[in-house]
Amino acid sequence: MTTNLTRRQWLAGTTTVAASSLLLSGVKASAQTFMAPNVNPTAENPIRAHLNENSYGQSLKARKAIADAADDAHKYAFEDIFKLIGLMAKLQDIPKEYVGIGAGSTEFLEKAAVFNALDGGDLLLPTPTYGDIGRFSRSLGSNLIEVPVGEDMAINLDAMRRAMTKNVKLIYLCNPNNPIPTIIEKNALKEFCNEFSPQATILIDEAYFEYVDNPNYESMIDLVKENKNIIVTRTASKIHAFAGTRIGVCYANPDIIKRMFSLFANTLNLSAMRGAYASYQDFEYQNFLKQKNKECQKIIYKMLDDMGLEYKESNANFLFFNAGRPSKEVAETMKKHHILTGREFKPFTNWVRLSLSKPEEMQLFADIYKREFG
Amino acid sequence: MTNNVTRRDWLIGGSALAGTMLVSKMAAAQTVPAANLNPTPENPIRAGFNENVYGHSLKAKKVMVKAAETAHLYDFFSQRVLNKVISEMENLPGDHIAIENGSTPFLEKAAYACAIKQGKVLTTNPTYSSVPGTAKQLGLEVIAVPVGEDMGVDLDTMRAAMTDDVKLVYLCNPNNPIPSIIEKNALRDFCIEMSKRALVLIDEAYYEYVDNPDFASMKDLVTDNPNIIICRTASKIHGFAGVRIGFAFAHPDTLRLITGPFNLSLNNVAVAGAIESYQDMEYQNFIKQKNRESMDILENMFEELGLRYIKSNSNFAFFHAGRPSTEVAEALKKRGILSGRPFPPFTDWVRMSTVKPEEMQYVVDVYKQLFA
Ligand SMILES: Cc1ncc(COP(=O)(O)O)c(C=O)c1O
Ligand SMILES: Cc1ncc(COP(=O)(O)O)c(C=O)c1O
Repeated sequence: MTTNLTRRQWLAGTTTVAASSLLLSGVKASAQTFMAPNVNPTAENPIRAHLNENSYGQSLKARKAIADAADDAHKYAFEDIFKLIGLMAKLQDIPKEYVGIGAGSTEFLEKAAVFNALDGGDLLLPTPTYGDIGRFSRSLGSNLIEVPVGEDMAINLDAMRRAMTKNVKLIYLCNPNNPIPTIIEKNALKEFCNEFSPQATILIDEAYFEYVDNPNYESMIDLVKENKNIIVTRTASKIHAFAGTRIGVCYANPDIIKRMFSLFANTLNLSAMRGAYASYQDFEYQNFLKQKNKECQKIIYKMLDDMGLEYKESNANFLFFNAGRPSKEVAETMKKHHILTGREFKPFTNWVRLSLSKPEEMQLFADIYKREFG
Repeated sequence: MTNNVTRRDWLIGGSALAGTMLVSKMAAAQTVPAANLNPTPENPIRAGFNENVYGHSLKAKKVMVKAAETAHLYDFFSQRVLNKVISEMENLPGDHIAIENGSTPFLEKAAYACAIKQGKVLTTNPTYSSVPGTAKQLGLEVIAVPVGEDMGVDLDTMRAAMTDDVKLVYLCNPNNPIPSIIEKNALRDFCIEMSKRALVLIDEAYYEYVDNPDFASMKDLVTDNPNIIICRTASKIHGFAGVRIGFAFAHPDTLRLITGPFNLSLNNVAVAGAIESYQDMEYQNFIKQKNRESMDILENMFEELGLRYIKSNSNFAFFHAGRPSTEVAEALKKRGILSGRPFPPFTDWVRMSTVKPEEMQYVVDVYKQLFA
């Protein structure tokens, strides 16, 4: 594995292909190392293409910050949160009072569900979409109004507009959506937000924001700056590879922030905060991952085109394609080859959600998929 | 700093002595960080936050370094392992246990659950302010029954203050900032009785430190009483304040109110560390022992100076300084020592967390210089 490092792989490396061999080899390997592709997956060490994780792992700068934090980990991290809030504010050019930090973005989704339940409101949301907020709302006893995506499989704002009632106090929009990696056209979305934010809180879940490369896309953070009743959530779980580290960021007007975050902001892991502080400033790594993600997309698009399978252009780190057979069957078959693919998403039971891991791993997926189903 | 490490000191970890200890070979698997005997405002003795100043068990540390390699993955498996460890340890069914980033998320969500029912909160004063603070922020009424003459939680007065509007009863046992406990039989009756009318949350954050025959955890009640929640935390004896692991024990239906549907929210390093730390009894016993030593040093000073104090069941003391706690805090801070914030109405009382015995002695010496 250390023997045939290509130009691209300099940047990579499991812990075994780490700094020393790279440095010794005399290659100018930026400052980064990361996990090598898993081209011999096993049951114990499968290719994880099922949870929209970032298989490259964290930026080396983040890893160092996290390791260095270990000696402080027995202390409550009161100061670090303010530092991280400051950075997030600066990066988005928004005042600090508009920023909240959580243990992943799930925390904000759940809090929004709680506040909606408190206000006795219904939740309006598309389907399919990311399920956390809907499920938690249901267990809190809230009523859900679920609006199917349109013919084009994109979130159908017009249908949502028609489904809107005055009992709705929370609207959830995931942009890009999940499991369908479509985006909502920016002007239509802005108009929708301006129309309904006077009567309901609109939560825009931008978990996959960093991967989008589409002129029709725009973050709704500018509406937050205008003090609209809008919450924008982001996560370090995706491009920053913090899924098991837990940092999320939420942008909203100060009244909402104050409501969401009580006096005791001591629920955060100190090393996670220090890691995020480093990772969000490591643009080189983020750009590298975006480029890798594109390479992955190309490989799978080619496979799908070759096989004549229908799919949605992806704006995220996963694809959604029509396998023409139950996604469960695909998952079972691929699992035998130690590749994990997404679970079933009703009503699109023949569509497969495939998380993009590394180009080499995606090539392996494509080869096996063609063999099995071609 | 390296020359007088006792057998027990080996048990815990820290970077300062690590190298030396490894060389010395005798060093079991554990090493100890040195005491901070030259505190400064920049590098203070932290006697303000009820933390465990020894840091983590070395066994925990070791797996935590390894777990950092999975930092990019959602790891549901380890959570189940931790659940099983706690389930066996506490003799509770796994579905009665929830895990979060510390116990604070449970405390806040219990306040939310109360708010959704538009209820009031019944608690004592003073007590740990997460629940009443969150409730007030949500606009709820908080009925805070003052502690009794003995500064213990006054269950009878609380019982008398109970109304049908109350949907959450919060008690901290041992309490904080007053490190007293509630007598076990009285508490059990109270919990069962109140749970017929409201959610009852018993916050046992300092449970591991208690060494008192009148104390008992209320965890056994959760299997038969769906409205009772017990919270625990790894922030104290396990030194996880900045790592974040906490537990709630309750009936699955009740847990659903205070946990989300997707338990994505845990840090893998924290989970891996907790699995080891909770099984490392040697380490926990060591911390308890050190806590006792430090507490003896503090209590000796209280006796010597004739200061009134509450017998501690915890890792902090509460004593009557006879002057504003803010004045004490300021004077100590100048000498590089952090002590507790004011706790109204006991503004002349100081909460002091235990630190390492050497540091505790230093604190006592400074305190005497300043105020004796
Ligand atoms: C759209 C969306 N939002 C939120 C999350 C949860 O993210 P976090 O890890 O930040 O809690 C996910 C995770 O898959 C997601 O897809
Ligand atoms: C009684 C009590 N409960 C809960 C907490 C918060 O604990 P955690 O770190 O588990 O969120 C504290 C912390 O000081 C406490 O004293």
